[in-house]
Amino acid sequence: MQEEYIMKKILAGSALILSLAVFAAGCSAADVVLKYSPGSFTKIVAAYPDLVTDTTKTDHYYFITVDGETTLKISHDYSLTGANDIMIVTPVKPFLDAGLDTSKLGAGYAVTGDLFELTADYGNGTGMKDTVTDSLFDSVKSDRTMLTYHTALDHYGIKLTNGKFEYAKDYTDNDKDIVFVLAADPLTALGVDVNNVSGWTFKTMQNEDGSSVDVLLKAYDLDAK
Amino acid sequence: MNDNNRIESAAETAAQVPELTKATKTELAIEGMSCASCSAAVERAVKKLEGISLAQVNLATNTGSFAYDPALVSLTQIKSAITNAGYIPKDIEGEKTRKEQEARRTDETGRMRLRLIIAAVFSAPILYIAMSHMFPLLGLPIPYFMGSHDFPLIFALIQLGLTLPVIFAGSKFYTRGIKSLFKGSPNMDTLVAIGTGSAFLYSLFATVEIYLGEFSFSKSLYFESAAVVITLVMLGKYLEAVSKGKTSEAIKKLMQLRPTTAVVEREGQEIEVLLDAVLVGDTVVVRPGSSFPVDGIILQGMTTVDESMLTGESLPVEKQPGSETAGGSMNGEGLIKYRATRVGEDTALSKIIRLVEEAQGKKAPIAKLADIVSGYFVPIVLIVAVLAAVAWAIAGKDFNFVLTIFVSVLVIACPCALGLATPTAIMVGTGKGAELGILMKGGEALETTHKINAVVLDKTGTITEGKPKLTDIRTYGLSEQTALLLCASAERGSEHPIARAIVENALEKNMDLLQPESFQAIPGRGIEAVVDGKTVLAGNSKLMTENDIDITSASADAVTLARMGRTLMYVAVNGKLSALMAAADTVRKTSREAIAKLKSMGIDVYMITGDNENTAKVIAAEVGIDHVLSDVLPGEKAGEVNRLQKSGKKVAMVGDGINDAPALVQADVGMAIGTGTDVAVESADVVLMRGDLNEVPAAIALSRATIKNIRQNLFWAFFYNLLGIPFAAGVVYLFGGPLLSPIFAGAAMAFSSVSVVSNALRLRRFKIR
Repeated sequence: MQEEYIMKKILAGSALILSLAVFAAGCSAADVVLKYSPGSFTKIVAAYPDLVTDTTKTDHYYFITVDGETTLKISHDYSLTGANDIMIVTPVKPFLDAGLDTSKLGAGYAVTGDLFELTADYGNGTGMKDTVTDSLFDSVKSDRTMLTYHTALDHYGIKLTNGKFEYAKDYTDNDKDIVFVLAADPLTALGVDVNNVSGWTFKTMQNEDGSSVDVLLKAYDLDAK
Repeated sequence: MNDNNRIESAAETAAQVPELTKATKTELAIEGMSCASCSAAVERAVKKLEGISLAQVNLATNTGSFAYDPALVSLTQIKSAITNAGYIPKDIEGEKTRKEQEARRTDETGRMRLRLIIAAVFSAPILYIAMSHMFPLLGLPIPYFMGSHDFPLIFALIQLGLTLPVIFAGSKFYTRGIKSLFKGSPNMDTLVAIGTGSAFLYSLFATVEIYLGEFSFSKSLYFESAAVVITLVMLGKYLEAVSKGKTSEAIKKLMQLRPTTAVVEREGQEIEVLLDAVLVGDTVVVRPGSSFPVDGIILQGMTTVDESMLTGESLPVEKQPGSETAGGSMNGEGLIKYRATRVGEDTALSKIIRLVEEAQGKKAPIAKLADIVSGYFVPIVLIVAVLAAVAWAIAGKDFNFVLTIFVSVLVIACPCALGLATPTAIMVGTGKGAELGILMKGGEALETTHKINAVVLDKTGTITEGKPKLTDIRTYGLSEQTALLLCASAERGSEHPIARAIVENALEKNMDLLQPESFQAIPGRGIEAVVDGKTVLAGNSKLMTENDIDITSASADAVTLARMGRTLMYVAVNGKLSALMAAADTVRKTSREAIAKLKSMGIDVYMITGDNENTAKVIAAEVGIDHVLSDVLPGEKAGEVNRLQKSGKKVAMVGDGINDAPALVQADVGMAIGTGTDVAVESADVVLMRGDLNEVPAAIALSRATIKNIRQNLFWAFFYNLLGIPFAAGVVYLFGGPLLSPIFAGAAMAFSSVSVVSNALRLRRFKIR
């Protein structure tokens, strides 16, 4: 009888524990990536104020660039920037040299003058933001799947339509503090020889689900800046 | 042999069973043991007490046999020592306790199954989640919200939530393991507790780190190792329990022979009562096709009785008023009324069950090696695990690697297979023997039997039926009728087979035998009696010579009859040789076949007999025996066995267990043929219940098969541990091989136990060829 009682206890306890685990899992506090990722970005822009150029008053965007060429543009009010809430902007010449056929550009791509733009639309956002961090993370508020954490590189990432902006969780302990990532397959479809894009590194990365993805990378070590 | 001889033999036998007679023996059920270290710990704890002469604990039966001097130590102290060692001693009080134990074992197996199901249900998703994490190339889909990269804390919490029920289900490993560690006798549970506990606690620490923002700790979660290892060990233990239940099936079958109720006549009416309510002296009614509930003597009715489950004898035995019948045997076509003579624990069946149980509880000498190794094994494994972990840490490996090594070594090295290797094989072997009518009285008998290379067979009652018939009477001065009357009257008090043959022959001739005025048995010679005022000497030639009787007139007859294989008895009346009587015994139908089998097994077969050489050789030739030990007096048989032993032989003596008792004790293995008396059972190491000489080669073959099985088990048990430990410690990895994960270590360990028990169960298929 005592054993039966114990077994019932185990079953009841197990159900309770599992319920608690599911509850905890559903609790937003359990989303530690969402909890800690804005802080890491804030630390980077605070440590390297030159990275950010604020033109929000004139054209609604923050500009983040290390080399002055490849830049992340972040809208401070998504309702004002249409399909271009966040963009990776980089010189188009290396891509044209590698075979980019601009006539084939589809959603998420644009060429404006001598700049190649990878765009992303996150809807209308939650209103005007006062800081570059808040502006960046307004993208995640509408869709949590836009935020990623890459364990191998210890990077957070914000997904764009055809690319990703990644930054180090701890810039003091990482040699790739900021990384621009372009998906290679769509570029190949646009005629680009992804192995020969000047200034960009072609690499095959592995996703969490085991699938692999080809990308073009441009990484920066801010300490070496 | 006459009654006096029997008493002498019995006394001699008793004198040769020295030590344990002064000690009190007791058997206790012991709960809470999980491996060979546990049984070793109980033995150590009890042996520390003063006055203990025997402490043998059997892991397979969960029982312990203890012999102690009540003047120095009490049973309560023994129980306290067991309790203090961390285990629960319980009294065994015969049948009731046996049934309770069986019921408890069934309940416990049921609970183990339930715990296992709980553990498996929760472990399966953890394993799935962990596999998807460890082997992303498998492409196992998991819900987005618990991805290890994007949601590391949820990933950890889900696993924690799934692991805790498994930990609860396997909580006994922790309670018992930690307790035994603190008592200084770490066991298998300790290894599991420390191994899985380390993995769990480190994972808990990693979860806290993830919560604090150190997401890389999502790679340092070992919840799946803790949960899956516990589940696998539980699976191994469950399968082991199921298999152990099967090893005692022989006893179950014996216990099931008896009906639960009996029909008895009381106050002229037939009433059905519970078996426990049958009393000695009750008249019991058994209908055709029903089982005899208790032992007794048939009062009314004739029938045939199937005693195959008791004796292994396949042919039904005819019974009539006056015949004895045993409880558990199956009545044939007759309605029988019989008087209960033995009930409850006193019945032959209960004694057989007790004998088998005791045999299954006794350790074979081969088990000592496993016991010694197991006693030191767990502490050594703990040290090896720590040393391996420290060595890898010094070599610069990260904490995750070091923990994997530590947990794997602890888990793979659990010595459960080692502890089960011998007792399970002995249980199945002795159980199988009981089914075949071969009662092995313990592991030592079972082990020694396989070494036998010489078998000494007593002639009368063993090779032959033991019921000689009077064939010839030669007279010298008296009429045949007078000689037979005087001799039969003189011998009527004797139990010697030839004496009985003479008496039976006289009775068949309707002679009215006379009452002897005096009677004296002369061991190894014959008898002296006074009948009708005449002094009658009946016996062998030595008796005549020692009494100055001239037997030369019978010499020619003696030679002729001896050549025919007859056993001779000289009869002298008033100091003069009056007759020579000859009797012949019938050879058992199976003797020749059995002896041929023994010889084909490479065993030297000897016949030992008090007959003269000529007579003995005739019988020996008939059954195919080459070595004859003739003219051997009952008291000299042990000496002959000893002489063979001194020549380097391992000797089994096969006899009826009464007149051969000293030789049975002297032999390396004493085998008593037939159900025999208590003296037979006490003297022999093996009791061949069917009374068939074919059981001798069968017993040796069974022993050989069992020992071979034990050796296989020990090999596999040692092999697993000796190969597994360096593998788990990373030695193979050092040379470019794979690193063993704790999960595979747990699976290997569970498999080792199951394979050892399964191998032992193969013995159930043993057949007499």
